[in-house]
Amino acid sequence: MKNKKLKTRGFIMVEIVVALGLVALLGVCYSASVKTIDRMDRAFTNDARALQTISNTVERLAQKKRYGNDDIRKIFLDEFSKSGFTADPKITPLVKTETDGSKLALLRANGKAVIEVKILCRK
Amino acid sequence: MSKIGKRNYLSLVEALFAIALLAIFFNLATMFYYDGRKTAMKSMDKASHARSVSTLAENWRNFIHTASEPVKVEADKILFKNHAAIEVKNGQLVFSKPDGQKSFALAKNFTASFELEKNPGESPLLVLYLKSKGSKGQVLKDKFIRIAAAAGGGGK
Repeated sequence: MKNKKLKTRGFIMVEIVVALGLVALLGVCYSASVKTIDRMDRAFTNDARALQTISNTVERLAQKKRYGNDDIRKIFLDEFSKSGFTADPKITPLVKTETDGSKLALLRANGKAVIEVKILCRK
Repeated sequence: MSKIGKRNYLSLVEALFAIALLAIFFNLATMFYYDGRKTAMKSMDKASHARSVSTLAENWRNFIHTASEPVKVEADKILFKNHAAIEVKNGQLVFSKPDGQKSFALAKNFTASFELEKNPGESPLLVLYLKSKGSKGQVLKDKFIRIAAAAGGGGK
């Protein structure tokens, strides 16, 4: 009688494993969501910084009466080096020269552009 | 009838084990809540800062384009020839002109500083750096946003 009582009172191994599994699942969900927030946060900061890099490039070019592709390239790369992206080596600048202007882009490690603009030369 | 009213008492070892388990779960729950809240608050602060940057950049550039040449540029203050000034005061960026002033509150955990840059073949640049502060209040050197505005107004 005493033995039977003890048997019905405790948890069996499967129940404990399932309970621990559920707790682990919750932990995994939590850490995944924190990681996603962190990644989004970083992407958001990069976007804001990229926008400011282009905006600063345009501001500097706007003060010149004449500028060509060389000026656009030089100022864009200078702004990139001063923008703080060097702390994040996953972002790289790209300048494509065309006849009437230059295409400027900031690329992520996967080749996708954070921002891409075309600036026409002023002659 | 007798089964319903019957109580199952735990042994001392079982009770101690249950208390330890509860303590662990309680600790985990508190940690998750605290960390999650901290991360969310940090992201909210950054988002509000990023939103205010575009407005601030526009005002910063407009003010400098309309002001005359800068006479004195310090890390927390710029004085212009026409008695206009920009300074960082109590977590605010204050743009003052003889006819009035405008101020922008900086987001919490952010600080501002100014610099004068001279690049060959260009007008002098006044640069506003919005720098992020760490958890202990130290300025983080690699986390900043740079907003440049051409001073003097002369095209080259």
